[in-house]
Amino acid sequence: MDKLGFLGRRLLQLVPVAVGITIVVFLMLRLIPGDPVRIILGSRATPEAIASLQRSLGLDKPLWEQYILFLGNLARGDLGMSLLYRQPVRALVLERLPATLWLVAYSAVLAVAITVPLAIVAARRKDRAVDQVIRGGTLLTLAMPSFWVGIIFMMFFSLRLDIFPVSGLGEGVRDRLYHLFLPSLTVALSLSAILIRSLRSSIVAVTLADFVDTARAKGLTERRIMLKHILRNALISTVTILGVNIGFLIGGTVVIENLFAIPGLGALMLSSISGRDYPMVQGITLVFAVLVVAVNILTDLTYAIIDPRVRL
Amino acid sequence: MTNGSGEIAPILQIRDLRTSFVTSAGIVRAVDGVSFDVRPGEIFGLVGESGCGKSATCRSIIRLLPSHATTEGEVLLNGEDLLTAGAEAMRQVRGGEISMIFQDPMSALNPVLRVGEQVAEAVQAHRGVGRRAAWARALELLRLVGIPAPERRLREYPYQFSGGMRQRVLIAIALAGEPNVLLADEPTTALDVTIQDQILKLIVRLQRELGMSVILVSHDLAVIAHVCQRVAVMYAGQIVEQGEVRTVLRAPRHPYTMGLLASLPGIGARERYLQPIAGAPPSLLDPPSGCRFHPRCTYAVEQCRSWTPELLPVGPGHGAACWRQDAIRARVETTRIAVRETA
Repeated sequence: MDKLGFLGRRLLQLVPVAVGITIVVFLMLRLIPGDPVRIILGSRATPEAIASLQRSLGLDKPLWEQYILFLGNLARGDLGMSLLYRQPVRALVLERLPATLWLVAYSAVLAVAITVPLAIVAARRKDRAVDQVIRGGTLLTLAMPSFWVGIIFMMFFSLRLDIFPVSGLGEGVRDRLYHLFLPSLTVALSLSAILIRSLRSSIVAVTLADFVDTARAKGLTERRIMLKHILRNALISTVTILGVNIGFLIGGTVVIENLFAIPGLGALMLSSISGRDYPMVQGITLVFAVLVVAVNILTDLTYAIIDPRVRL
Repeated sequence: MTNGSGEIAPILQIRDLRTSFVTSAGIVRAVDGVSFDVRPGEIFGLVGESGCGKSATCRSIIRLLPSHATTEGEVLLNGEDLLTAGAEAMRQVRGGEISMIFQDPMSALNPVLRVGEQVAEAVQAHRGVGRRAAWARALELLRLVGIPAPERRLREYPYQFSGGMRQRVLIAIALAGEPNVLLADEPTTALDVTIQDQILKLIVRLQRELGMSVILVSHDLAVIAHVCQRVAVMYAGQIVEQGEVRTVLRAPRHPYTMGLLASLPGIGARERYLQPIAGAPPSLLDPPSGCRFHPRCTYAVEQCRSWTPELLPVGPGHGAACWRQDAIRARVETTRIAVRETA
């Protein structure tokens, strides 16, 4: 099947991207102004301590050799030791990864669930009151910082109504969906504000297309015309925007993770940066980069499924 | 079916149809008091320049107009008014009783759905059959409209089809609900000349085999002359002349029709040189007073400015919206004599 060939070609194109990512992540630690070892250990460190840390980080070797070593370690899945936790970075990252993935995926699903019906209603009632309200709502949502929305949700749904938990991750799928609902909704709202605007205008544009006249002339119901003919074509551009935004989201859940005390990568990243845990920052950056690339592939694949004309 | 006078009852009767579009510049009266009948099993031509309201007339019949359009008058299908029909009744009419094919086959198919899907869903919209049966019927329809290797073509997407093949697909879609009337809105305009001829022949063949009525919209008198039995000539949202194709094209009784014929090579043009009609079609936002053709008409007299002529009988089944019949007849006689003398 040619969808598989498409995926294969797309993966092949990733090789240079992957090389680029490793170089950037590798240089992160090396290009920090000043000696990272001194920054890590502080200004009062003894020369012995500095030399020993340099040796354990491999910083005493030439740069190219360090890079080869880095790649070798990477190939074995070794991301180094966390300075703060004194544990392998890989284990710590893998432990935190699921929470972030849950949050991102859940937010994306909720965002789509909010976007599609509202965009359809707004587009069908273009320039009428409903449309104005929905468009105004998206502007308002865009103007509200998500940490603030999160706090409001917490105060209202958790504290006053007591129907959702304030924090935590929950065990098992159902409990997790329950625990992550408010944080995901918070993220989904700002995401859907962008998506609704995009999808609404695509629907309005596609509605004027000739093939919609054909669909109507053959006696299809309005519902089928919208869902099968208009929406599918309108989604093409919105999928791209969704993909880009999920990419942003992967590195951008820090605020929400902290607010709702979700033990995810964002929270770990934040504490690692402030704790100067460079190997950890490096490892998380790498994971983020891989995830963003993966989301891009998924976006392209979705794109190819929706639009048969897409070929690379 | 016959009515009192012994004539066959028309399948479609358009009565005083008025369609206008509200735009920021004002109200555009695209169709302004159009009336005609379509008989069972005939090909009725609708001819005129671009923007004269031909397409708007067709679209008004099955109410396929944007929301800023308003339509008045009557469109009677077997005696029932479509303009007052409910949404579901109208859905059943579209594709079921009256189908439509459009000018640009390149954009009239959904680019992201398989061709078979697009034909099959038209079948399913009008017959309570399952998916499998609908696809089987779609295969028959592709075969009927002469698409080679229909089994393979069903599974392909529109971008894999040429313009002519797409128009065939659109015709197959239009036939899916076994309609009695086919509205063909400039179906060959966007196609190559050789393909135009194939598509026209296909429409004529299907019309005969299936006994449909066809309204063929065209700006091309040659096309109309070729396939239609009767024709209505439209100018600025109104019908200015109507009758049997042979009569209208051989002995036109409206200066606009005469002008159209004189501007054509080949048919009906007795003059050695082609003569374009002077001036440009009027704006439908602010049409001329009286007869809308008077600013461009060589026969126009003072009363043409103030009085709007109605379609008056000028021969058997032949009507023209012009009072200057005496002058027109006289001119026709002199040209005939002139032609005879030079011959």
